[in-house]
Order: sequence, then C-alpha cells, then structure tokens
Amino acid sequence: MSAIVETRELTKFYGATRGVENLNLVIQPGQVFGFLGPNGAGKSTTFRLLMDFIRPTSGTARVFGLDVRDNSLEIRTRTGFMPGDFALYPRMTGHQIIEFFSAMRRVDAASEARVLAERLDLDLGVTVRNYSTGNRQKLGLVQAFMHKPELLMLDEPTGGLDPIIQQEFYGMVAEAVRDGATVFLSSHVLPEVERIADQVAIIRDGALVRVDEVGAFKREATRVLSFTFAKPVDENEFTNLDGVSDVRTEGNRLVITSSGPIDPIVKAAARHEVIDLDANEGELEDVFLAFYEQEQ
Amino acid sequence: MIRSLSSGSLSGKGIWDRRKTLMWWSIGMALYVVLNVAFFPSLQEETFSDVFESVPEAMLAAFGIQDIAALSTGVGYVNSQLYDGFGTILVAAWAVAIGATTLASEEDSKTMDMLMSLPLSRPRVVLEKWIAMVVLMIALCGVIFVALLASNPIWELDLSLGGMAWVNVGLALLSVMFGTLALAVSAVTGKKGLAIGVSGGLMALFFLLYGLGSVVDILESVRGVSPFYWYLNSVPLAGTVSWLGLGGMAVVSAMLLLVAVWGFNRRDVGV
Ligand SMILES: Nc1ncnc2c1ncn2[C@@H]1O[C@H](COP(=O)(O)OP(=O)(O)O)[C@@H](O)[C@H]1O
Ligand SMILES: [Mg+2]
Repeated sequence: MSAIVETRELTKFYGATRGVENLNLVIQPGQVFGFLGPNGAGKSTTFRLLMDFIRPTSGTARVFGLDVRDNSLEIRTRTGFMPGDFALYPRMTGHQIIEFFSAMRRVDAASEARVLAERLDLDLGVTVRNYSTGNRQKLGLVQAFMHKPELLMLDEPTGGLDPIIQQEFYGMVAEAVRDGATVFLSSHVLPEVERIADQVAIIRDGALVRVDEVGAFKREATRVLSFTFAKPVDENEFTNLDGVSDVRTEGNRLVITSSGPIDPIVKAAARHEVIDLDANEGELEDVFLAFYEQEQ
Repeated sequence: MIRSLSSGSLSGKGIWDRRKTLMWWSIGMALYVVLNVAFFPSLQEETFSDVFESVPEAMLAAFGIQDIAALSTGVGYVNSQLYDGFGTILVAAWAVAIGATTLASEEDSKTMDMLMSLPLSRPRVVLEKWIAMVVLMIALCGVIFVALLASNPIWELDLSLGGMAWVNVGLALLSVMFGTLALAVSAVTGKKGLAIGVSGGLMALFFLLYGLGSVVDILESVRGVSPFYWYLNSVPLAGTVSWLGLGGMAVVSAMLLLVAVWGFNRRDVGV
C-alpha cells in the first residue's frame, strides 16, 4: 500500500524566513505519526502546506497519493484537520459550528459530534466567544473527528487540555486508528507524542533531525538504576559497562545512570547480594532534549 | 428555513452574519430618504437662486447639484439629495466595507484555517462571499426603493415607478462594482486596509470627476471614465436608462470578480 503522506524535498520560505527546508516525510497507513519539535521548528508550516493553505517554494507533497494542490478538495474531504493556531466564529454556538461544518462537508455528523463532545466534556450549547481556551480546543477536535476521516492531521492538539481529557483524546486516536485511520499529530513536548505515536519525527530549524520508532528512542533513553546491596560494592565493576555514564556509591547503595543495555548491569549486580532495586523508566525527554540542543 | 440560511451555505452565512448590520443600514437609509425628501415642498416655495447665490458653481457640482433650476422638480431634487449625492456614496461605502473585510477578516481573526480545511475550493469561497455582498446590496437598494416609493405621493415628488426602479438598480450595480473592487484588492493582497484605501480613494476621485466635470472644462472630456457618469448621466431617475452604463458596470464587476478569484487562488492564505 502506498504512503498516506509523502513529501519530497518540501521547502517553504516566507520571504527570507525559513519555514521548512528539504523535508522528506513518509507516513504509512494506520500509523500514529508524531511530529516533534520546538516552537518555530516548522511543524505548522508542514501541515499548512499539506492542506494547501500555503504553497511550497520548492519540492512536492502528496496525500493519499494525490497532489496537495491539484487534488486539495478530495484531500480535504477525506481529512480531519485541527490547525495549530485557530479561532472559530465567535458568535456561533458549538452546535451551530458543528451544523455549519457538517453542511459544508455534506455529511450528517451531528450525532457523532454529540458523542465526541460528551466524551470530551464539552457543552455544545455555549457561544464560542464564551468558551475557554480548552473548550475551544475541544471543539476543534470534535470537528476534526466527527466525519470519521481517513486521515487526521492535528497540530498541537492537546495543548490546553487537562489530563483526564487528554486520556479521552488518546482513546479517540486509538479508536480512529482501529477503524482504519492514519493520524499525524504534532507537539513541542514529548509526553503526548510518546504516549500514542508509533513513529516519531523530530524537526528542528525546518529540517528533520531523525525519524524512528518510539521504541528506538526509548531504548536510548537514560535510565537510573539504584541497587541496595547487603554490603558495599566496588563501583569500578560497573563504570566500564556499555552505555554507563555515571556511577555513584553511598554506603550500601549504588546508583547507575545508563543509556545502554540493561542486561550487563543486572548480571554484574547479581554477583552480589541484592536487597533492593529501584529502576525508573527511561527519560525520553533527555533523548529529545539532546536533539533540540544540538548546535545550540 | 432561516436556520438553514444561516448555516446551509457560505453565502447564506455571509448574509445571516450581517442581518443586524443590514437592518441598521436599512433604517438609516430609509430615514435618510424620508428626511431629505420631506424638505422638498418647503424648498419649492423659496427661490433657489436666493439660497445658492453665493455658493460657487463648482462647489455645488461637487455636491451633486448641477442645475439649480432643476431642484424645483422632484427628479432634480431627489437626485441632488440622494443619487447624485451622498446617498450613493454611503451605500457604496458599505459594499466596499464588506468586500474589503469578507476574506481578510477571516484571515486576521484566524478563522480562515478552519474554513479552508473544509472541502470548499478557493474560487467557491470567493464566489459565495461575493454573492452574499450582492444580495445585501440588492436588499438595501430595495429598501431605498420602497422608502422612495412611499415618499413619492406624500411629498408630491412626481417620480415615475420606472425611474425609481432603474435608479436603484443602478445604485445596486455601482455599489457591487466598488465592493467587488475592494474584494479583488483584498483577495490579491490579503490587506483590508489597502482594499478600503484603493476602493474608497477611487470612489471619491470618480465622484468628484463626475461632479466637477460638468463645470470644469478640462475635466469635461474625461468625465466619461467615471462610473458615476455611467450610472447617472442618463438621469435614470427620470426613467431614461443607459444600457451601456449599466452594462459597463456589470462587465467591470465581472472582471473584478475574476481578478478576485484568481488572486485568492494563487496566494498563501493566512500568513
Ligand atoms: N506567516 C509567516 N510569515 C513569516 N514567517 C513565518 C510565518 N509562519 C511561520 N513562520 C516562520 O517559519 C518558521 C516555522 O514556523 P512554524 O511552522 O509555525 O513552526 P512550529 O509550528 O513548529 O512552531 C518559524 O521561524 C516562523 O517564524
Ligand atoms: Mg505551530
């Protein structure tokens, strides 16, 4: 099956300002693809190019195998989009927005929208002007999901949402994927992408730094293991193990920081009597920060 | 029915969103018509030359009064107060305001990304917004027509039904033309300030050219380029229609609409 989203050397300059440069992105059907990068990296530019709001300086982009310019209408029919920085008509109620968007899409999405609004704890009877930022965000999500699109493109979707609603959103993404959709979402913070994405692309200064499976990043994540032994051990037994960056002893306790394989550490520790072991989950954040901070 | 007008189409929404503005414009223009024509009988009793003696001819012309003697007839009087004068400018100004802001405001207020994420082609967005403007102009000119129709017997203006109808058809066309010019500028550039400036400036220029052209010799020969000339020179209020004039405004409007579609279709939106 061909890619859902494919860009070739996609480049956008705003006058002299770089938006994105030579972007080669491939998103396969059924993926949850996380687009991760700091503010100003070029995430919104990429989405807006794919939606044909702006035109590339050079390079090409295809969605569903269709040219984003020539077949924009078909792409937009089959896509649910939530812009990164958007407003909705302030004088309309949530219901009226849904009604208007459904009419423009020529679909009857009212009942699905009601279900989604309920899940996200959003009152559709309120005028948009009186919505909080979080509620406006929720309405943005409802309109993106309500027509059950094949592709969801969500530009920083969870920014203003509280944790419980975020969980609900993760559920919505999982169900959409289960029903055959592909999801392309961006974030400038890791946890929301880490939680649901299969594939992650890191973008910085308009260029992709790395594209990989979340698992691959996780394997490189720094772990901190702390052992409590029956009696003090020599830290030199651990310092030369693969990936170990720091070893500290404190009486019977030994704390190891490592981004390498776990097995040799455990085997080395097993030579002694281990009373307690505490291992925190890998801090993926550190891996990403390492990318963010390169050359800075 | 009314609900579906508001949310069933983009043009319907464009009309529905401005229903209150239309109401205020309608009240305002109807009052403007009635208050102006209400002075007709009293003016008739005075001698116009006394009133306007000291006012320079060019000044009067600029304000739409070209022939003082004509003020004693209903046609001449209503023309000077309404159609040759600021009534026309007011109506066209609203068209310019709509044309300049209908796209640009959505970009400025960031609703455009949501709108454009819907499966609506860019030409369709421009066309539907234009249709909303046209409908609003027809509605407002219709209200002015009715106000004049009602005033006609009360103040014995002696206007013909055809004259009242044609002058308002022309008014709607002229307004749509300037509104479409504003739409075209904002569609091409995305700048509503520029759209208002260009359209308002040209409107003022053409208005003065038409008015002053009747008394200033060097302007006489170029007066024909003014759309106000196309609209008014045949005196449509007297029932004398200039098909060339009406057709000219329609053709220019259509060309400007094409420019708007082309301009909006080619550029980056919401940047
Ligand atoms: N409309 C615009 N005009 C000029 N520069 C822009 C515009 N939009 C974005 N940029 C620039 O392009 C770069 C990428 O921005 P953006 O795509 O919004 O990044 P992100 O969404 O990752 O925060 C930034 O340097 C930004 O300043
Ligand atoms: Mg962004």
